[in-house]
Amino acid sequence: MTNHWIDYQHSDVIMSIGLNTAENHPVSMKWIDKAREKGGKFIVVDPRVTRSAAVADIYAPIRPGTDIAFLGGLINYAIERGLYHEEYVKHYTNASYLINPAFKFEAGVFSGLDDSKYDKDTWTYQTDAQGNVKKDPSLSDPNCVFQLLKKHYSRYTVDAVVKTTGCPRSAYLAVAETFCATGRPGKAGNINYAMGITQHTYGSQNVRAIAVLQLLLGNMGIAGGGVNAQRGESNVQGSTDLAMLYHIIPGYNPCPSAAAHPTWADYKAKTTPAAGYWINRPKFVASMLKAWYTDAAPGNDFRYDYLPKLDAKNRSHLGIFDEMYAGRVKGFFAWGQNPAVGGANAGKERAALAKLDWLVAIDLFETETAGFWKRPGVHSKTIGTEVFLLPAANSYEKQGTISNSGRWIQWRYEAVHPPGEAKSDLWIADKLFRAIRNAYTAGGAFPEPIQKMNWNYGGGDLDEPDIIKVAVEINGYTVADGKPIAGFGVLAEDGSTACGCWIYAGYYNDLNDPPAKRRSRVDASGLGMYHNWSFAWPANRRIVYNRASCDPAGRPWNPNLALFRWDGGQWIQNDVPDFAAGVAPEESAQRPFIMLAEGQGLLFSSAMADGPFPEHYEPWESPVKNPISAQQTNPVLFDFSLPGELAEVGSADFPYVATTYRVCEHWQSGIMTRNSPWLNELMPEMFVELSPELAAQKGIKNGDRVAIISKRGRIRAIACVTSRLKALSVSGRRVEVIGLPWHWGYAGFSTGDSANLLTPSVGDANTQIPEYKAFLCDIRSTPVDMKEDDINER
Amino acid sequence: MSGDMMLIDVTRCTACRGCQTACKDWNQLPAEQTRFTGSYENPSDFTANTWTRVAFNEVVNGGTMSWYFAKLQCMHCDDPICAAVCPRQALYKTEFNVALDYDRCNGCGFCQVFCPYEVPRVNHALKKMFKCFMCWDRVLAEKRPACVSACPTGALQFGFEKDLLPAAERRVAELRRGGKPRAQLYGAGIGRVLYVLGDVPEAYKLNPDPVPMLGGQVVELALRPLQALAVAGIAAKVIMDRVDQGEEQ
Repeated sequence: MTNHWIDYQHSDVIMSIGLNTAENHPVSMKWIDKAREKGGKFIVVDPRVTRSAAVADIYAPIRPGTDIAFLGGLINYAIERGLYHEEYVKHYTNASYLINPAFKFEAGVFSGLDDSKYDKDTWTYQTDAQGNVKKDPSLSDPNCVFQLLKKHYSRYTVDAVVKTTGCPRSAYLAVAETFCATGRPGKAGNINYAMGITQHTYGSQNVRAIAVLQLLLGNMGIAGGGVNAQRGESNVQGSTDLAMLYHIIPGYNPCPSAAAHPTWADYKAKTTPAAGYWINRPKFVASMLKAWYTDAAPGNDFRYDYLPKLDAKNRSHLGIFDEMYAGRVKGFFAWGQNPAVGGANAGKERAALAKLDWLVAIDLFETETAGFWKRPGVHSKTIGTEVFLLPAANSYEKQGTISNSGRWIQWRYEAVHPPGEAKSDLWIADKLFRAIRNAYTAGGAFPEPIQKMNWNYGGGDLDEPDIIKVAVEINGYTVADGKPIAGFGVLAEDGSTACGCWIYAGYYNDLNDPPAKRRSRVDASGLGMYHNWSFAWPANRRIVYNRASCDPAGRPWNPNLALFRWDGGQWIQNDVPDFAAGVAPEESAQRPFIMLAEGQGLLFSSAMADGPFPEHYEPWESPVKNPISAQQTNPVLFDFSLPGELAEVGSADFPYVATTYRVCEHWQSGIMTRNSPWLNELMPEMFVELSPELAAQKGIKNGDRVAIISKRGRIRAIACVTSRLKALSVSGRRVEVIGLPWHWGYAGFSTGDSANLLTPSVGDANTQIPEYKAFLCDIRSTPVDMKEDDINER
Repeated sequence: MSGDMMLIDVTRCTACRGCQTACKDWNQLPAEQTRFTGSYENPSDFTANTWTRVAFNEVVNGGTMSWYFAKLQCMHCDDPICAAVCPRQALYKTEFNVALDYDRCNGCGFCQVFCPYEVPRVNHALKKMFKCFMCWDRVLAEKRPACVSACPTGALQFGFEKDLLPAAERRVAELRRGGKPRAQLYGAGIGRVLYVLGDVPEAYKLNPDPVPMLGGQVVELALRPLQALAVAGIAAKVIMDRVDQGEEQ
């Protein structure tokens, strides 16, 4: 999130698109209700009437996978009617930048498409002889970003949006009018989203579309605004901050690549921009290496050669399972993850597990992944994988931090001891590391990265390591005296500082009163910032890009919600400034988006793999031809599917659009919640939601057991026939949408078929996140006695 | 005592059902074995182990559909018919709830038959009645009932009538101004549970015409022959049971 939960109370309009905030983030409704008490409006865009939609002021139905059409239409609506925040756009975005005249967009693709990859040579700025970017402050040059943006989205007319998304015109216009009204200076619009936005073959561009709209309306950097990713797990923010992802190392630094960055010099040269805050990247990464290797120094390139580097293969979730399925992965740690239920095309992922020599599952219960070898319909004799199950402590049975969606790093204490032999993740990691290092004493290839790793967290043979020592390492310390650093400003590229994750610097900078443990209810800002309640990265800043909350002269756009005000000689501050506070406001106004080389919000961005502007494509499986362009799907999506796994466009065998989601009562793959009888009482069984019209056509009655079939698998579920789903009119035809919760599997107290047996192995062009949210299926009324192995396996 | 009234503002309810689970947790009530029958609502009725539950109701009206939620529980009537009909005088009224003396209760079920909200339920094995007791142990310890403390949105509040009633009236006026012309109070003057509704009571599966007063009971019974029959049946069974017991003694 650019903002935080409490800040929702300041919004004039809150639009939830691609998330079900009331069901999956229940406490959010407290702050949304506070905004509504002050006259704020709550918009929900969703294929179904969810419990969020039920309490919304405006509900807009949408066909799964058409968010860019919906958001692009809002961009067009704001531009056409002059509802955008003109002064903000002129000063704080790259609207005025002139783009290479060779840049083109034709027939749904951008210039430079070569096979399944874009050559970005034309996605560039025009520069003068000195290398400065050419600009047109009047925003009228046909090659300026604003004019290109306007032209691009002029195709997203209300008619085109309605035809593509299936959203009824009246509902769409109500959303457009209400949300675009936040473009007025002094008004705040908040867009929040979750996996309904990201889990598409163009999921990253869905997020970009939100960002572009928010920049146009001047909603970034202000109280009540923002692009707010609501995290679906309590600490998933922390897990990405600390780089539990293949493409980054801690603090959102790129993962080194063997081909592109064989040396420290290459890494620095190729990943450090010429301008923007990331010019400090070498200091951050050098300090991280210093934390990991005590002898890291400029003379040995900070032991950069010890870092593992990406090879030419795709190492995303889909990529790993594709390799595993091909028999090229020997061992696998499923650590708090349950791919047998949560993985896309789970039938393939279950089959892949059987190709492993060994599998270590670390969890609270025996998951479907841990027990894949004894699942219904398989013969365990045929599976050679050796499985180890390590019992883990849950989050209340150990201490540590949870980083919430608003970037608040909050310390949690151990409430109860873990049961039986269950251990904290830190304990397990510590013993594992010691055992591996010990094994290297007998020899092995390239032992130095393991043997020389700094591993001084205490903890003996069976003792719990000292988590405070880990916290201080993440926070960073000065090498000379071991004292925690105050913040990342002191980090250096000379071996004098060590810091595990630069953005966390400051969260544990005082051993006696660590900010992450602070719980002061005093709010000096009067705006709900609570700077002494935990610590928000970066630098305890509660709203990022906050220079943009004031005009160039330093006057707040909304004086009633002033994050800052220039009083003629200095800034009156209600948040930690995200800009140089020691210079005149006109100077800091040049760089309100300090992380970027441009210093300005990017309406046009060359950073994306699939285009500088978000463009609507159809999901990999779709009932219709793309109504917006001739390009059916994202030309650079990642396709890990096996032959025969794709239903063709408009398939007669698989005519319905399916989407997957979670319910309030269960969580993720259900491993924690399906083992809780009280929660099973509330949501006892796998179900499928469908409209009364589709049910009538198929001879399905509410409560019937039915079968749902895709090109990848078949499952059973109980029919929930409900008016909350309605056929949508798309390109002149009726498109039925069915909904599937993905919580169930064959382990635990409440068992049921997994929705992910139906989902495809295709991923987003930038992140390779799988397309869980839109695919084709059929639904049939079937006899109850379908054979298990007929259903669970292809 | 932390209060004498619960306010249920259904217009703030998102049906997360934290209240249902918090009730089971605090009162250590076992889970029901339920099935998914085509609605999120579960369990579908009160039992001796389910003292509160959220009703879900889909209403389609001229092309627009509404999905209504309401927490259902004992209304804790000021003039409780359950207590009036209890042959053992086991039920009694306090400032904030209708309480039960378990030593006196013999599970006869009179209360269950007469309650216009069908709240009390008898555990026949234990021969005791069970229902919401407004977490009397928490309230007397200056805490809010478990369901209220679990509610994330403030749909459930606990406090004193002198504060909650005017707040509820203001909320109804605000809802009416804000496009909910049928917004209304429900339960005012009946007992210790007050509702703010956004629509008519039936839309929330609330009895639109509860008859909690003993005075109206005879007339009501005449209009409700089935209930009358049930009462007669239970009365007969109670008498027979007593006869049996007498014989055993």
